[in-house]
Amino acid sequence: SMWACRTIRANVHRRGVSTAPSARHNELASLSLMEAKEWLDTSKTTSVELVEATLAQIEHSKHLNAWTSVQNTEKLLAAAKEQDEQRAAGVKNVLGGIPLAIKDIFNVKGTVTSCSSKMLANYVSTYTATVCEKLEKNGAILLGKTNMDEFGMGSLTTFSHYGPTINPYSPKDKQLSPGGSSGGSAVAVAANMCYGALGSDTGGSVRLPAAWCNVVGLKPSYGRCSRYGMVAYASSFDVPAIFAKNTTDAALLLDAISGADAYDSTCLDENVDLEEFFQEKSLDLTGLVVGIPQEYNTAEMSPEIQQLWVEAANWLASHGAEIKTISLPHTSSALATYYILAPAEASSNLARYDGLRYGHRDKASDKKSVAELYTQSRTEGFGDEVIRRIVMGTFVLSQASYEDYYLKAAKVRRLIKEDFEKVFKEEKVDVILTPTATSGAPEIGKKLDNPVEAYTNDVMTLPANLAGIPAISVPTRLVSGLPQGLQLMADHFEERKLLRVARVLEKHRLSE
Amino acid sequence: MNEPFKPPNTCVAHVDAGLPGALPVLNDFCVDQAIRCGTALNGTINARSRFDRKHYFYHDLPLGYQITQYFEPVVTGGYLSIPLEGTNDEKKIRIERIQLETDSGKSIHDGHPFLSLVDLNRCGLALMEIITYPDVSTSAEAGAFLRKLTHLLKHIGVCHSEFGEGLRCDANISVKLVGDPEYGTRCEVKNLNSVKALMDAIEHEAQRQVDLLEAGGTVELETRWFDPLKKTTSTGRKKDDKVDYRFFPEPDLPALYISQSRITEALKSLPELPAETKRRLINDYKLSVGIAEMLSSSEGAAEYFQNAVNTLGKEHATLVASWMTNEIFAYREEYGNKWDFGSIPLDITRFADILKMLIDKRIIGLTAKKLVALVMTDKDPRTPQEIVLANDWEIAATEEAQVDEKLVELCKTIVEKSQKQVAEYKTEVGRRDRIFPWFVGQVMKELRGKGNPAEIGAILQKHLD
Repeated sequence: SMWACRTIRANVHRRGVSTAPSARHNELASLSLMEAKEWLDTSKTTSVELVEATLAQIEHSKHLNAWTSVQNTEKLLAAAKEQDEQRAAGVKNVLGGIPLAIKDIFNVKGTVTSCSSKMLANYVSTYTATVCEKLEKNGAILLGKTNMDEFGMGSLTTFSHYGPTINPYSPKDKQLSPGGSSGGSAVAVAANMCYGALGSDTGGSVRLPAAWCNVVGLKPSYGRCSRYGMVAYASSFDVPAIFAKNTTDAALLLDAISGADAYDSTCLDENVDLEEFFQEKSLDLTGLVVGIPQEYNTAEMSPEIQQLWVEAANWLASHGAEIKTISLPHTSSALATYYILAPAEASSNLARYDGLRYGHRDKASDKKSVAELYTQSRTEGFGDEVIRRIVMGTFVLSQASYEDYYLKAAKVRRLIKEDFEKVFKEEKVDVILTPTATSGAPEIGKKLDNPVEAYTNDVMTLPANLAGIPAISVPTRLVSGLPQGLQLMADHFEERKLLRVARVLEKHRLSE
Repeated sequence: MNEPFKPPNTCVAHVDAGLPGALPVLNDFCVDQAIRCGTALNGTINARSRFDRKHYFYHDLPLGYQITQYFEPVVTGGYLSIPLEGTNDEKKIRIERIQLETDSGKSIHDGHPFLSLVDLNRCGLALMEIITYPDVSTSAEAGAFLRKLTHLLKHIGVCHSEFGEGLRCDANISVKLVGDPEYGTRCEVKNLNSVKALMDAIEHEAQRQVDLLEAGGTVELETRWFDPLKKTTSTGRKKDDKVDYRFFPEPDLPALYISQSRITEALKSLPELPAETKRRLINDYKLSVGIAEMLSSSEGAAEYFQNAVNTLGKEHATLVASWMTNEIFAYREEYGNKWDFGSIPLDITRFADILKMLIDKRIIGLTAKKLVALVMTDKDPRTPQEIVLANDWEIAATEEAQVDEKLVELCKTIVEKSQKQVAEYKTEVGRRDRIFPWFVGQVMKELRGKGNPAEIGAILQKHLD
């Protein structure tokens, strides 16, 4: 086993299962999604067994605090049994009987959708997000909801009403962050508690935890998947995103959740077209151009990661790709641009949380004025980081500041997008290669002098969200004993190309 | 779309309730309505317009923001001409913009002893806001504008309800000293649920501001609430005017691009506009400006007129028009806003029948008036011919022939006796409409009312010309 976990011997007697998973359950849980499918199709296992195996892992990894809620066992087994029966009857469900995890930012009817916030700790969804509906329609078993940074705001999964999620790669004496904001989903996949998971990526919230937890994190193009039912943080940045154990698994999940939705006016009707990817298994990259953006070689980047970057470029070159140094001149403005625009949208998207129709309501203020009710409910319901970003956002949208901050940042965003367009369209670069993070997973609870310091974790990942282009983090060899990721970015709606190169890149891990 | 009178909070979509994760979708039908309305008001349909968020916290605004079109609305410019009372002139009230936006829910403060109630049924529905330049100078003009606009909107099928229900308005009022170049600070007045309320509010508010300024005070920019019973305005939520709405582009809705073909398609269902009808009535039928204005601004009048003229002949257009405007219009009061020529008891067939009998000299004018009254007021279901027969009101042919020679003599005498009036008739062409009936009246006086005005008129005409 690749991680060092502290096993807690709890007195749990549930259906005669002890805390440590059986060998069989370990074997099943460590399968990839595609392998699990194959085992199901060849009757080597059943969906019921897969659910039991993953539940055993969940029980065993409780201390990682990856989940905000796990579905009722009876219901899960019933759903699994249903899938087994359908399979036996010849029904072909692409994800039939495969257990998955859902970040607690997605509405799933009947579940609490808390966004890891006190504000929504009592909110039970009345409808299911489109992407989750698609998973269900394809036969997936949704095991439960995973922990996150409150409302998606954070890079370490430490800003949660339910406490931090622990990185399974933490050494014995420390608790490391899994990254954020989709830390729970990343850990759920990394610790074999499911075969894939949904997260959301607004500034790197899936790619960063993927890198630090040794799994694949795929951020689709903006407009590829429906946002309907995904609680909004920054509407023009948010995308539903995927955690998986390998790139092929990720591709399968992308295929399942992408597509137009009448309820989302920003979701386009474009076929993701992965036929060729699934059929053509060649690792030959002849004819493809990989760009290395010089501006991403920042002062903060550790020498080990720089080394890793060089290795990755050589690895791709050895498969026939042409490596080319490129320039994305406005990269250094990305951090500031993001932290003006995203909080602005957040301050707007979170205005609806007033405790009046649902969510946390301060009962004491009930008999006072509406203004007091709102103020108290929101002050109590939101955590510090959320309040910080709402205040920042309100400031940049205020009449006196709008032109100097919001409008300026919106213009710079366009310049950043144009940097990418020039490189992809004029210079004919196919994919861009960078590391996903500039350092390894930090320790949880380490005091920062300035909360804004934490924002620098996102420098590598932010530009893709600003430009709306697809990006993926692929796990690679350990760096200083901890997981790291390599990031690939492609032009808007070029997930096909992205995955093709990612499939080659992920083999680098095994080359050691 | 909602029907009225649904129980509270039974027509609420996810996004209307501000549920987490819900997204808005643009109602294409409403865009087409905006295209039609913008065209009818002579505005420019913008090829590209955008949506924006306008933020404020209120319990009937679940999202904490309204979706509107602050930066680039769907229609800019345009005008509506209103008739100026007492003249044949018109005044153009210019439109600044028409924008699409979402409605908020309804707050009910008097439905519970100590709680305010919120009904979200209409929340999220699309509104079309028509904003004018401050061209309206009097309360009368405001009333005329609102009436004309209401008629136009109903005529083109953009509005189906009465003013006060589907159609609401706010007024911004400011005053200035005669001779001053600029108007003073304005106040916005809300809660105007009728044309009368609008006019009363303007009168009161203007006077209030004048009194305040004359006493040495200053007018503050604020939103005031109109009380229709007391006919006064009072300070509303003062805070609102200091509110920074933090406008920014709505990220959940892409920009709206309207092609020429979409405009053409949307306008296919646009009927003839009132201004064009008015022009046509003046040009084709030689109706007076005043009458053409009345016929083109009354619901169903143009069709009614057209049908009658088609039946009776173009030469009787003036007769038809004057009977509609003088006789039938008199019954308007009991119908109020719901007046529609298409649905009055006197249907077009019977109206044409009455006039035909008059034209054919089978009945006198007074009889025709009686017939109109019987149908309009008493809702008599019979045909005019049946009523005339039952009451023996038809003029016998013989009576006419007997009176003829004596009548001609009488008319001649009257004309010779009244040289002053004859001179007036011959020189003041504009006043002919008023002088001619005097002659008729003189003859009728001699006949002690037992004459046929039409026949008398024809004879007099010969002698006067």
